[in-house]
Amino acid sequence: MNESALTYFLMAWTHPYLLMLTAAGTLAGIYIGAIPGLSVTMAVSILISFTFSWDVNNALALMVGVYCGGVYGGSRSAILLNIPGAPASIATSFDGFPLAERGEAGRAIGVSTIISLVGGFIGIIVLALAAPRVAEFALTFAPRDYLLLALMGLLLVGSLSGESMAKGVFAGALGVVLGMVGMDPLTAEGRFTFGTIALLGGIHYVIAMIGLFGVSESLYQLHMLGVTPVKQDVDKIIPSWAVIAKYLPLSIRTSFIGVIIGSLPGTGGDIASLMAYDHAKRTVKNPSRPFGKGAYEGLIAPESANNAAIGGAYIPMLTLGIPGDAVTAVMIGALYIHGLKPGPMLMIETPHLFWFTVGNLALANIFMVIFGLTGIRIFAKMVELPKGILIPIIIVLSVVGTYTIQNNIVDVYWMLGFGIFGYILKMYGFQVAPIILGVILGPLMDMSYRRAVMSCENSFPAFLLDLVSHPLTAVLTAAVILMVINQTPLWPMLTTCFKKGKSK
Amino acid sequence: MKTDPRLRVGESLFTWLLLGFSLFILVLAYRISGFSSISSPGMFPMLAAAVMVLSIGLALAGNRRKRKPDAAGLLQELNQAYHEIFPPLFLIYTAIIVGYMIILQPVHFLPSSFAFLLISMIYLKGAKPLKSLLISGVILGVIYVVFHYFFLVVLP
Repeated sequence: MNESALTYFLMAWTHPYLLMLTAAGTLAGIYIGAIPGLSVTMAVSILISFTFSWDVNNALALMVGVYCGGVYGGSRSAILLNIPGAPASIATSFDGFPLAERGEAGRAIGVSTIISLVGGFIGIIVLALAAPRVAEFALTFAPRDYLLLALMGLLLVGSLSGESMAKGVFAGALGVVLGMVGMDPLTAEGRFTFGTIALLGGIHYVIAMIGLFGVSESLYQLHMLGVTPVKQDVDKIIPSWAVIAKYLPLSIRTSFIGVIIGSLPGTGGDIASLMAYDHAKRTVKNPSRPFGKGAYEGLIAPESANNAAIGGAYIPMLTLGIPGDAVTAVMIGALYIHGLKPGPMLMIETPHLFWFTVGNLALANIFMVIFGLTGIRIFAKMVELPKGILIPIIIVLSVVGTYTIQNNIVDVYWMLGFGIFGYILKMYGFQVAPIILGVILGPLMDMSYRRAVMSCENSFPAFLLDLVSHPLTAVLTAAVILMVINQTPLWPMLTTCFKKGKSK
Repeated sequence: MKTDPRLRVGESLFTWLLLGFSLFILVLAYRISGFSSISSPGMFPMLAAAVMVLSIGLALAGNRRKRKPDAAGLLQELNQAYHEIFPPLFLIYTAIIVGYMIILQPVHFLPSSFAFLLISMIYLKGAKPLKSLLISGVILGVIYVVFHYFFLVVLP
């Protein structure tokens, strides 16, 4: 880093107004992310509308703060209410909520805060050091690779979050079908619209997310009305150094998963956190508790990855002009509004913007820890509210959150429909997380599949050959096949054969 | 999350219903563009629907390995499902939510939400009537200020 780069890096740290904006953005982000029904994408989108006339640095400082705080804040509602504030927090709820049910919400949030800082900083360091090289690697991904990557994400969540792989895959495929509803972006043909105009715009994933998580969880909680809320232990919020040191290696490993996945265009914290969770489940031999029952490892892995993915997501955004996830897509829009063109030329024409953003991200991470740790007591007490008060509040917040997306009351009805359907699915052992991921990844998979097939001149055999004849694609194909076999009776047979072969 | 190897009441019927639903989706997906081309708009939806049919078929096969719930006949099982999965509390509260959503636009956000919060808190025994009145007012005030003035959001 040369002298001018350092000056730009420290700009937000030394300029009081920028410092204040970053702090305000981070604080707002944490609380927005933590409110069920409010997403960080929505918050950044709304902020853009009133930062039009601002100076670009001021606008970016505020939005970077909201982004960092929002991703972190999303884990709060995942831990406390089992409602992920953002898709990136879906994996956090697997072990975070069981921890809150045990009365360890305060400690869980404390650990996740420190670990988020580790993940965030690893993401920033990789962004600063390797942005051009990582972007170059991401450019080598073909549509078929995106298809396989999205498939891996779906298979992961399908196998991780439910009682049976078949039920998880069903939920994921159902989500993909829901994601297909609306106008086909390539041919403008309606799909699953029943000839109505209302469905041509498709079903917004946030509507499905609020319904399937917010409302269905509330309806599910009706069965536990008589249960006294678990008293949350808020005495040990700040984790000891020994606890952090114990989980640090896992956090560093999963942070790297996060930054790599985050740097791939189109994939963000959602897939990153699921892959990190899967990594933890496979590599941690003796977790603090079984995974899914409140294992700290199951909380640390996704939290490190989704915060590291922020730094990763900035790489394709700043160097290629391609969004890493939904929020960076909105950010790109903001840069255009301020007369900047994200892409390779941005690094050449306005290098100061790159270093300013890196410095700003680092600052936002520090504020995240300060505000994160100081507000835990209030959040932890939220879970102690009687269910009879909490459930109606969640329903009202879900209604407001859904209505604000498109100001359409029909969306609210959809949301309730998803909620009731999600409740029935839950009661019969189906998990709702794969549905959401399917809705988000479905359009990406559809486009990637069709582009891949078109590049083979619509020849299916050529497409299949492509899946095994390119090194990177072959590795991903092998990973997908192994993941499927892993869930079948073939797997124990294969491992026994392998062990026998090894002992000979 | 490992579960009891016994089927939940009504699970078998629900899985069959999901199979029917999946087949319906498959037909709908086929009707988008049939097998006209492997990159047609209907191809990927067909693949997804086929995966739905296949996976729910596997789930049905898995159900056969589980012990059946203690119920003599379908009618008794449905009756048990009504009590366990759709108890009166669930049905009445869902009706309250539906009612809230119906009156939301004609009556406007503030009065309808206030009524919903108040009725819900009393019905779910979250707090005594007077306390419910106070909590509903405060919560709604906070929601209104945060969303209307801070986020500049249009409320229903």
